Amino acid sequence: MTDQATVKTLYESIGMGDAPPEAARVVIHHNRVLATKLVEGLGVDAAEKSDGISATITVREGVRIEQPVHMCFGMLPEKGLQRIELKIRLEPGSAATLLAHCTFPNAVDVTHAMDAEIVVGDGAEYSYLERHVHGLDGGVLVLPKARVWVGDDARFKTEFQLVQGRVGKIEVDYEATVGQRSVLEMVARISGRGTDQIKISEAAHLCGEHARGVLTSYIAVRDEARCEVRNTLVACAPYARGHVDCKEIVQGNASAKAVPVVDVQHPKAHVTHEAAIGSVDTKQLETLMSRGLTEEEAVELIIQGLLT
Amino acid sequence: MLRRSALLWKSGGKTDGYQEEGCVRCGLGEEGNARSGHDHVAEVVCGYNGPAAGVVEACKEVCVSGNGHLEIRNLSLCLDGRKILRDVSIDFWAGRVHALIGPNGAGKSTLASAIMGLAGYRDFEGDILLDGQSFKSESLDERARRGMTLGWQEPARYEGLTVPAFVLAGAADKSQETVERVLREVGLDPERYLTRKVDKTLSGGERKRIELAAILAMEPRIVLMDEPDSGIDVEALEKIFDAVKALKQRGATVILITHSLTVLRQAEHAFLLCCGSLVDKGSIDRVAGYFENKCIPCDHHNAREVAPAGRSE
Repeated sequence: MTDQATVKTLYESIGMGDAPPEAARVVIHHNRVLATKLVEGLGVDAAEKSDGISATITVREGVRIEQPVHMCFGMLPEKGLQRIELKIRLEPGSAATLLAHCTFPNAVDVTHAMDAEIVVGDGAEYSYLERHVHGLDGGVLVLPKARVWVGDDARFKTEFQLVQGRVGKIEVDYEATVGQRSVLEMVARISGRGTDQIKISEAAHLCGEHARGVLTSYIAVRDEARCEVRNTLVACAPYARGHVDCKEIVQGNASAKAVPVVDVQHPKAHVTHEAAIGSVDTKQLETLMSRGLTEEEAVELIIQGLLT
Repeated sequence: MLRRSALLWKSGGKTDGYQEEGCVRCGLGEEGNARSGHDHVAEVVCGYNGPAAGVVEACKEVCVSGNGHLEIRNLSLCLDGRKILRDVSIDFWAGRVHALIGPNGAGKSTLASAIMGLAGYRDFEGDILLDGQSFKSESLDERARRGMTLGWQEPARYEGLTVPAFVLAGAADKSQETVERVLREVGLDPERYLTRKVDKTLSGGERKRIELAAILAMEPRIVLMDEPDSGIDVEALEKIFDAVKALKQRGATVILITHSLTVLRQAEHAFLLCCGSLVDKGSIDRVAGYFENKCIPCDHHNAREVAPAGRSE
């Protein structure tokens, strides 16, 4: 298959048909960079390795990239390992959104491991939206790991979502340090079925005065799927504010566990947590059923809303 | 004869109350009506099945038959060993707006839950019929697919579910035009609500109106609306009343569950529940008068003085 055909197939697998014409983009298949389009102020330095790539992405000081930068990480073969080492630098006062599609439509035994270091400079804004497309049999092991440093007066948001296919096995491991007056938000939305296994470990350290952080997990598991969410929020500065929120819908023989950890190390800091785990809310369900939806249709709509 | 005795006793030994009013729909029983008769009126208005069967049948043909006629027959329901509804029999006539009024704890919402078939409210004595057919054994969604629905006193919130997705969930026509039309009907600007979520970012009043929009989109035959005025400001309440009128114009049978006289006035006919029993029914003025003069002052103790029809204790 030519590089162009591979790019086309990857884009088709994520429902985009073709590469977005105007936006900056980077397309990586296994260990090869197949396509790159840059915009002013955006730098991508990528090195191909035997089992993946190593890349540094930089947004220059004061540059605000309006359209999301699109990244596509994919593996079309049924088996293989893709290891991504990413260094992302948002220089002071810059702003960018990275929309990353990770697609493994034919996976039977694929491992996708990402190890990222993310630095969001003072006054910078960075959103990382990770969308996963897997095959129907879930033969994927996904290991996203990120260490994040958010400077002062900065904003960082990450959102992880499985949009298609089965999870397989996923272990999210994110940890962030947040500076003064900065805002951090981490959201995970995942639906597991069959024998899927989901482990989410997100931690944020609110180290600067007036730093704020929210860790949110929306999970739905059914069949024999297993899920464990460990979200940790540490507030160690005056007026740091945080909230940990975990909602998990459990059906069939699935099981879910949530371990919210709130650690307040300053008397003027304040952190809250909320966890709701169990079956679908009866009132939500009965309301939709009183409109004529079957129980299955109602549950599906509720989960769809939760995960979208 | 038990019911007849109770009826006579309830109206202070007089039978004039029912005789004067007659059937609110066909006029049978009104003074001067050649076909009038106490037994006919008792059947239609009071549930009394007297000897004048011919008259009763004549009225049934006119009033009681039709698409969307809901009959509650001798319904008694216990929750946690406590009797909540006691031998309640009511006819909700097709295409009419009814009010089910009563103080807190009277059993109004419980009756609505039993009619709709909500979990925990399906095990009861008696029967419920739609257009003459029992649907007691049908599930909640089966009842809804027959055109029956419920507007909740406190509508549910849904994390992430958009207003259009919620409104169209049970809609007869699942188009964008439908969403916009029904939102306008409840006084909400589609531009402002099409991208909103049915979650905690909406006020209680907004959720109430969005739920009503979803009900309008469903084009139901029977609508139970539990406390349609709760959490609603005056302006929004007018929109809700407009929607009730719209439902009636489309031929729906509407049942307003309330303890508000303002809501009661939107109906054409009312039923008064107290302590799980039906204690009065008839025209709005009649029931409003009863409620104002007896129920409100007595602070729920009225039922101890007035043994309702069919009450066994």
